[in-house]
Amino acid sequence: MLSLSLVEAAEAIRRRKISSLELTQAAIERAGKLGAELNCFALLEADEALKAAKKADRARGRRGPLHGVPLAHKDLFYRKGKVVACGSKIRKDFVAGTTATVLERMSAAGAVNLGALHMAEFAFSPTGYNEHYGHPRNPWNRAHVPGGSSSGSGAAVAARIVFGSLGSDTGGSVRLPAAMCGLTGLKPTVTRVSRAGVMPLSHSIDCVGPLARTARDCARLMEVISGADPADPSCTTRPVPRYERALDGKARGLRIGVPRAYFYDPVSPEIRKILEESLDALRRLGAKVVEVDVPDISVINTFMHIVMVVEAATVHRRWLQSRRKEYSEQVAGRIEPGLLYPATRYAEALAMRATLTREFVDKALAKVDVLHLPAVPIPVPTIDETTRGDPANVARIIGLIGHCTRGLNYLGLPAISVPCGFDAKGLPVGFQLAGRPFSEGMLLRAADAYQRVTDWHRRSP
Amino acid sequence: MDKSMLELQGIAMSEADLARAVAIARPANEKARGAADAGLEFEDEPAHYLGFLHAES
Repeated sequence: MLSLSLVEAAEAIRRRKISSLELTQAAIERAGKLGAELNCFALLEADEALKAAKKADRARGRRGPLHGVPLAHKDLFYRKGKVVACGSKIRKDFVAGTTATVLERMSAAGAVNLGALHMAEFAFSPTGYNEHYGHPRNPWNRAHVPGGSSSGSGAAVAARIVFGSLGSDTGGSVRLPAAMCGLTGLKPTVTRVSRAGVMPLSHSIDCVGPLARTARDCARLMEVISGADPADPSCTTRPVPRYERALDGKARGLRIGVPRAYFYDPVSPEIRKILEESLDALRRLGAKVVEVDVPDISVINTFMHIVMVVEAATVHRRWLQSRRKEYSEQVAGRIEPGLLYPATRYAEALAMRATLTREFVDKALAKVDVLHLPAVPIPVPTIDETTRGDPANVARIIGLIGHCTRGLNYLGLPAISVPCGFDAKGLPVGFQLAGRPFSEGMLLRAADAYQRVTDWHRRSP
Repeated sequence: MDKSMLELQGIAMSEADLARAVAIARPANEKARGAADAGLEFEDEPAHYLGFLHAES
């Protein structure tokens, strides 16, 4: 029963074909069997989850869309009265005074929370690297990284421990673990989902988004978590579309742009072939695929870097003053350049955002609805390849992992990662679809149509 | 210059850590400054970004 999708599990509970307690017990059992091996849980709360599941089974009357479904989320969402360590040593004893709005919405929708999932230290690694609590493992091959920074989310959902998970995405942290673990992951438009009660990495760029097995699962989760929030004034007040209802399996007439430059440049031949096959599947559904030009992404990436590290340095400056030794070298080394940029450069990086986003949309998305991009342009690397050996080579591999994701974060555009095959070593490969602001519905619809004619998302490790 | 920035931040860093940070920040600073010189208008401000998001959707 753990091989069901989130929506299938919710439907099975609703029809009383299965109880929340049975499902939660099975999830806990699987977490006990695989959780430590994959190092994907920061905290497993079995007793509380079983209590919540029993309560869900007793409930009468109207039930929410996630009623009784066991889920768990990245350990940076605040939960009142609980330790939220954010994968760090610094916050290992931090007890949250509030609960993140998105978690309150998950509870209101009936979800059962199994605990908190492991993550990269302060969400700072695209591989999931964590020096303090050990590296989470990829369920498809334990020697390989699961992707980060929502590494525990990727591993736990792919290993069929939980049916879905919320992560955060500042440079690819939802889409990368989704792609590397064979899952579907959505980074919404910036401001679409509340970030109240979420440990910030970079407040101008951070997004909260779902990782799950299918686009339909993501659509359901997005409907639950999206919408205005008085606790997060930056959150948009625009209405939340009925994402799930709009999934009709159709991609006929969808115009897909494939960028001529940058995104595909470092793609290995093996990955390229798999990506081309995904385009063929979309063509067979009636989509029209054309090549498009894109602006200079290196400029976008530079501004992205400045905004991210200056905002991160602002969050971490006082800890860097007094507790520098409690950071791993890799994370401190990524934050510290943020202390060296003049304020003018940061202000310019924010002021240029509208111009560069407009330029990108006008050029890349002028004649198409979505862009088709690699999610990760190289095969999923091993943990050794991203932690040992020549530092320049390690930096090169880590840089390549986020090659196709990070620029979209500065632009604030929505993007979804969709599984589309496996490399020669049996590790998952994914493509991204990116669109205009607030086009999450279109991205989910296209991904769902693709998943109706392929079965990559159904494969399990 | 880089050392005085650290003084302003109230942070002491080893020479090696500073050199590592400078190696990242300096080229990014120059590239961003060049792009801002070429593309930033006096009237541009961060709030325009949110306006753009909503107008474009």
